[in-house]
Amino acid sequence: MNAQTLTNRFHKLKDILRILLLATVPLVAQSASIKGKVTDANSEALVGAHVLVQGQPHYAIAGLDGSYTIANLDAGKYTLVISFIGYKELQQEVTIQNASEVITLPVILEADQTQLNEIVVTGQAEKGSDTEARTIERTSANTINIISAKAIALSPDISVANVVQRVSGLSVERNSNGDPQYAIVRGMDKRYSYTLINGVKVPSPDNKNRYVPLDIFPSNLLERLEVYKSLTADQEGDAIGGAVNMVMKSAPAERQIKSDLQLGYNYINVREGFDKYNASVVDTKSPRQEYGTTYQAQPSDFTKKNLETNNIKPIPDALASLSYGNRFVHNKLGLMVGGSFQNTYRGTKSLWFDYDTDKFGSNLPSLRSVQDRHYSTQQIRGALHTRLDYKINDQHELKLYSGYYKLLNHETREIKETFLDGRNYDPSAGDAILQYSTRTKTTNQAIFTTSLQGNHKLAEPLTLNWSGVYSRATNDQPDNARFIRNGELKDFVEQPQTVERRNPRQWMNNTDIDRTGYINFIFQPSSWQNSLLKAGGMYRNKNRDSYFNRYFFDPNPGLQTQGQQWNTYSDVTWEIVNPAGSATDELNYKAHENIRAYYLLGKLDINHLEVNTGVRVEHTDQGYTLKSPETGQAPDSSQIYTDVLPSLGIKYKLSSNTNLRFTYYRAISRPGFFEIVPYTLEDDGYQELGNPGLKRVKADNIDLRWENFPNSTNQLLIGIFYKRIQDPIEYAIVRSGVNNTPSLQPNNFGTARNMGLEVDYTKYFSKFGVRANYTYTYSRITTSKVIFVRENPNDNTSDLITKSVNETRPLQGQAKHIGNLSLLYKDQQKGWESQLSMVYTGERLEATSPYLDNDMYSRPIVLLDFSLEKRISKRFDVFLKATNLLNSSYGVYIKKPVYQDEGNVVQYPYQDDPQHKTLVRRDQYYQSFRMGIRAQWHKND
Amino acid sequence: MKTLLNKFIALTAIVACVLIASCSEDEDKKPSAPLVTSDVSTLPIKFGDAKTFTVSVSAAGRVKDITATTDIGTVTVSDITGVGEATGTAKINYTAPFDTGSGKITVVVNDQAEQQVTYIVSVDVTEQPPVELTAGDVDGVWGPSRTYIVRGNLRVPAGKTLTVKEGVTVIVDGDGTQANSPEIDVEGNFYSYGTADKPVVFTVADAKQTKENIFAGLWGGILATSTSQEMVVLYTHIEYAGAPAVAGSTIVTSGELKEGDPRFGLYFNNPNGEFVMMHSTIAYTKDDGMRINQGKLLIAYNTYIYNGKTGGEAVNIKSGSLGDVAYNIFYQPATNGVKWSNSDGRTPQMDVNVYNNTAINGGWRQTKAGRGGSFNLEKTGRGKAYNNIAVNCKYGTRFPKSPDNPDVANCSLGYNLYYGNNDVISAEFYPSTGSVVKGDFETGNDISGATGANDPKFVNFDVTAFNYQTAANADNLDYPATMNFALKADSPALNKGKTGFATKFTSHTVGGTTYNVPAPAAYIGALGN
Repeated sequence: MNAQTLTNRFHKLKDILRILLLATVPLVAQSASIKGKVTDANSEALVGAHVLVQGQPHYAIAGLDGSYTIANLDAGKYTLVISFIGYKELQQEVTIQNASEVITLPVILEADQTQLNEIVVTGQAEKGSDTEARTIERTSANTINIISAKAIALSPDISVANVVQRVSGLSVERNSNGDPQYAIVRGMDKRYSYTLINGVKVPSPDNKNRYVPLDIFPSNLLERLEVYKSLTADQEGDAIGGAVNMVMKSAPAERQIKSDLQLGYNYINVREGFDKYNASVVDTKSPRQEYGTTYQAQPSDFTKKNLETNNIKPIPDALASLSYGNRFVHNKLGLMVGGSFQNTYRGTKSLWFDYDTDKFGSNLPSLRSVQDRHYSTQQIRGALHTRLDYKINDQHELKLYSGYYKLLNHETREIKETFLDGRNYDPSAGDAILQYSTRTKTTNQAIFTTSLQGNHKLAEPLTLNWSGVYSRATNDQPDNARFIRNGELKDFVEQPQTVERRNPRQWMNNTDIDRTGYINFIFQPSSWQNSLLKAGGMYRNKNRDSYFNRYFFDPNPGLQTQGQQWNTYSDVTWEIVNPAGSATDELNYKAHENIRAYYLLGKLDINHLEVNTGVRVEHTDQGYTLKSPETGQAPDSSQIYTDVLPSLGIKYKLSSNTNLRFTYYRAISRPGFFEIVPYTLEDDGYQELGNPGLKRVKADNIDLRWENFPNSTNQLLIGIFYKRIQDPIEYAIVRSGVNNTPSLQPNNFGTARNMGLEVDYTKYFSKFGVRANYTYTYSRITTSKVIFVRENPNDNTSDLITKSVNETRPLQGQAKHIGNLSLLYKDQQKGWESQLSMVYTGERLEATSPYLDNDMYSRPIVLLDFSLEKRISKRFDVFLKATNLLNSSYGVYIKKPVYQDEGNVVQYPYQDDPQHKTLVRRDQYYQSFRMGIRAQWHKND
Repeated sequence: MKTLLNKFIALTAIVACVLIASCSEDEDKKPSAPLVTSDVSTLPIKFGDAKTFTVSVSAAGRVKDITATTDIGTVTVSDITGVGEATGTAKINYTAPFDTGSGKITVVVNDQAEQQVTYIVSVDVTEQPPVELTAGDVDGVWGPSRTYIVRGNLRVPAGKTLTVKEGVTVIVDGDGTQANSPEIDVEGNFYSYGTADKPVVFTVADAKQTKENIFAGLWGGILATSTSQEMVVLYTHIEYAGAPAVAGSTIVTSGELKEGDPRFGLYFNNPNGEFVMMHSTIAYTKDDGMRINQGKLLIAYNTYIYNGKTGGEAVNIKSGSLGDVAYNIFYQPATNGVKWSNSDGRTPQMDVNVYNNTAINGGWRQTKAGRGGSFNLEKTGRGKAYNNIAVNCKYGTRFPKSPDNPDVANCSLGYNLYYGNNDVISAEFYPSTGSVVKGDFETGNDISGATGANDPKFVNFDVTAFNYQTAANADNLDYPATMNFALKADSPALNKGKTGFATKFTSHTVGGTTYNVPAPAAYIGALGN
């Protein structure tokens, strides 16, 4: 970064701060005032409580720490009316003696048991509030972090994946659009975490992996996002990193309608335009699916219109959500219906370097070409969910949840690749060989999950609860099509393009169906108070079906030149190289996973000590069946094993607002469904192999956390963790087959260690708030890498051979330093709310290389987002959100100089520090802006 | 003693009587000449078949001998009876040759009166009916001179051998689809022993041998697996191969090709195996003419015509290969005549010498700019590239730049002749996408210069008529006219070659025969004058 851009950024930052400050200058009170804090009987701040002065226009709303101030009062006698949902209204007489008096009046509200229904589990706090989030963090048996709906609403996050990066210890893995997609918990690869909806595991639509892409879930249906960093015996045991639990909005205590509408624009679409293709012509079925397995496809079976793109200025992004909640039948039946729709036009400018490692001893990355990529993605996200709870009587209660989440992506990828080889590449003369590629890809992912839960107080000390869950995840990628052309740059002029051969069009889809049952018994005599015994079990039957078919197209005639034979894709004439398709690809498989689990858990709560201990037994039967096994392949296989997973949690209350928490748990991580299929995939560079012998990962996890909750919203958490990971799964080079072919294969590698420190700090000062967290992670794993050497290093004529060398490095996906900082301003009275948030992700091991010391690291990145909200009436808020203010780019480097031939220095483009590191990828997303209106109606309005 | 004496007296008396008797006959008249009859008068017979017939002789003068000769095939006489008697018989055993034709068997009978009679049986030799083969295992010997129609995938099982003799024509009944494009998988050994006069031909039915099908890829090719120890291909034509690979076939399961990728004319894949191919032709393939994934190889005196529609090499050699490629002609491949690289990094490191070859009009159908057009040594490969001619090829010999560069410390290059009839061509004798400029290695000894200079002066081929733009489009191609790439006496390529350098091997002993690796010639190119 040069000085100029630095200055620009600084100016930008200053402008932002100025806006922020303008919005936040508090008015100074000159006359008498009343101030204080509104709390409940437990000294919990009641954020948002109303303090009215009867017969006067003055009122206040309790701030983030429960404080309120009513200023501009004359001397006299007043009646303050303090109210908050779920609490008895309180009237308090106050007399002001003189005009300069400042009266401090603390208010304690009493919970209204008649109004507050018992089935509102979380008690006094408003659902989705920060207060509720802090309460759960404090009282949970797990090491847990929570982001409340309120915090999400205030952030510019549109999907759950955006939200998770604000949790301490979490970083994200992005998709090619730059959108966060997967959670990396404490530097543990995404494989080590699982995803829950309302505590129930959901299957992934991802074809190769079992982890769920979090960008499919819209953030505005969340009540809160919970991240578990430790497990108790009643939770499924395959989360070594942690678990992400999306708690969806549930029925409120009284009628409530909430909605919001947002319009937005992404600056990149102004700069670069948006490449749109006609997705409506895409055939959902390939000719082979449509006409049978022996059908010989012809070019006329395929549409040509899907590969014609237009660079347009898209309509603004539109995001809307609506939720309705109410209670019926004397509050026995609760209903929450929510829907969300988002239509956004995302764009990314990206640079990718194609490179290989020099094979003559220098072991440096040597550049082959640079690709200029422009991604344009229309993302249509739709979600619909309902939550019903019915309280039959005091003993019996039923809950039904159904959710349908859909993410439809229409992605256009335009690549212009410049080859950097030889004398031919001459940036000063404007000469280079070029290749162009247009790809259009429609991806339709959906998750449907429905669960029926029952809660029964059987006999006095015994409670039973159960759940039956059906989930279905689908991923459909029809006609992923590419149009590849060759070209040349001569004298800075791009020459007419000719059509390249082997243009693929592929169909891929997969479906997962999970059927799960849970049953739990809780034994808790009233004399035990908070202590209890819990036992239960679960069974899941999972089936996956995966389909893959690909056709290759060659131009026919072979030479078709732009301007002569064609101008658009439709003009090109083709022949199909493999008219029958490729249905025997190993991606045509079925997989299953049947899990039986039982557990016993005890909780002992005596005075300051709370001990949670338990043991869980999980029995796994995981396997696959190839639909068209090839000779020499095992057509099916199963792994059957049993794990015993103990856990122990100790929480010691050092004082009323300070906990010391220790947790230990043992967890596993099962191989992906696809990883154990004995597949062979040709990829760039090394081929990829499945590994039917892949073992599950086992880990012992220890957490120690000191927690301080000075009041209901402030907190300070300091924790350390240590994980001993047995047989971690990583990808490394193996030699296979009679040819001794080097291939990339997932394998188990000895024992890895991962440890770190987490600090999470939240503090509100009346109208201001600071939220910050920081995580330091350190891990080590040893895997084998390859270097090229002469068989006899002293003899230059001896054969070049590959040698395996062990390398110790951090776990893949890990960043040593991760931090979040949010500055909040909230003026309840005037209805202003504002947040400036920053996410820092330090240098992170992005991808491992098969070669020694050639791993790819993403450089540290700071993302800065801003949002501003103003309540304009009792029912309406308007807001403005701006993301990626600094236009931070995501850069990936190999920490080695760019290879140069001896005595010949090529000026490679975009390489900012070729003496020390090699840039292999850089993504830029530019700023996005959204403004919107949020409305809510309560029963009493 | 007495009896011996008596016997002697008796014998003398008999001899005297006979002599008297014969003297008296001679004086009278000779006995009738022998009369020969046969149970056949004409003999229709198929290639290589054997037939026996019987002749009967009535010889008043007593049978003396019966012999037979033929002007086509072979004949023997056996079971002769009646010698010294008035009647006799003999069996005539005839074996047909492997050539179509008519001829005769001449049976000669002599009697003891010195009278000779000949008897003619006319022979009509016709071709054997074709052998039809459906999918399954094959081994043993094919031919000679027989037609085989292949209607399904054939396999030579591991440990077994298929020997194809001279004159065999194999017609593979393929249509270019994955469903119906047979291949011949060789898990054992494969020997195709054609001769200069009677080559072996692997092709498609006559009706399918059309200009439109030059790059159609109608059948799967001859594909060896890693268990194949030896392959010898002599005087063999392989044409119209390259149909898309089929799921479950070894070439797919081994990972060499993905289902649907075009197959090759020939494929060999055993680092410890021996591959010898000489005096053969691979023509009209959809992609690579042949690929040697690994193995010890000798590829010499072959001709390659029109390999690859829009990409593909005539000869593609990968890591794990060692050997020599010499005296071959590469006529208009899509990309290179020879691409040899250490790609996939197998052991041993690829080391192949490519010398005394002639590449004509290469590289133009490859749609990708920057790819090679004559001889390409890549990806940590090593070897020598001497004495090659490249005429009107898109690029001269190319050593790519890092990261695809060959093991230049162990590469040699020079003494090559480049000719281009257009500036576009002469500008790329030393390819701008490669690392070599004239003067590097031994390229100072190259014969190369301006456009139109250094015409190698082929006996029958006009190098000036070439149009590179027309050549870029496969649809413009027709079967090549007669051509002869031998050099005229005034060729600049004569006596400019490098001699004396070591070939990778000196000989290969395969299938019981030793094949010597030809030494480099004093001239440049595949053929001298």
